[in-house]
Amino acid sequence: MAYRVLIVDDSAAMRSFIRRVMDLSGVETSAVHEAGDGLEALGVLERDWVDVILTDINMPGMNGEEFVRRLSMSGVTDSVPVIVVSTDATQVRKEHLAKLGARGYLVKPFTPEMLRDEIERVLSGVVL
Amino acid sequence: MMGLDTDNLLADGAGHVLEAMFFTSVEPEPAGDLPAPTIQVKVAFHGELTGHLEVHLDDAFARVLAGNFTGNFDPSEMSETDVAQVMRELANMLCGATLSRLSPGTIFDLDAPQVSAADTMPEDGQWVHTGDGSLHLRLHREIRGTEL
Repeated sequence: MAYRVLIVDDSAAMRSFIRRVMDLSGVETSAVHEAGDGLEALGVLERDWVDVILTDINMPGMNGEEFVRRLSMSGVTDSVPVIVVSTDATQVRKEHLAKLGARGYLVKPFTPEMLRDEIERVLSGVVL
Repeated sequence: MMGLDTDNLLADGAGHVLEAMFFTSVEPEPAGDLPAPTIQVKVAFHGELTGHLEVHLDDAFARVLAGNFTGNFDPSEMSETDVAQVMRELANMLCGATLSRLSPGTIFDLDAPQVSAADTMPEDGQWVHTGDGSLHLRLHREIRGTEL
């Protein structure tokens, strides 16, 4: 199955990397949308439906926490899983984002296989 | 100056980052003479641990890493801005990887990495070698205003 993906990161280099590792790991995509912060991502979601969202936390403008909070309040996270991608590996941060509505969490650095496994896990509804 | 344990943690964290995200393997020895770094990336961290990490490398290796990271292997299509953005990602991940090894579970905040020109050969710290080039890492920790 080919997925529609939204990548939210203020770094164009990181967005390119995520696209690259999705290809390398065999994640099939029918559309990949990009946004530089949470506000821009909300604009994308008004126009296009996606199957999964990958978001950074630290971004200028609307950061990842506020973005996930807004998605959760509007009910989007009930049908579209959000995976947070961050260098912060602390359990406190992971639990905080999960409470806000994120269903996945990927710590940088990660391998292409780790990204694929996390996407497949959240899309299959498996809860850790 | 940091001790041997910290240098080992730096090398271990860097190896993990370079292999997972930049598709290059760490080697025990440099491929040739150590290059004079032309780029410095500095990222400050705050929290229970406070200080900063410096990354030094030369432009040629930075461009190889940037190509591996983004999948753009044509140097002519890679601007200095593009390379600098990848170097910020590299420093951010190296700092996170090092701190999570140095003090697992500790909460810290990272400032936005700053890229600047380097013109001196670093002395203390840790070199990390790959088949494509070498980079140098130096971690400064501060406790109550005292640099260790």
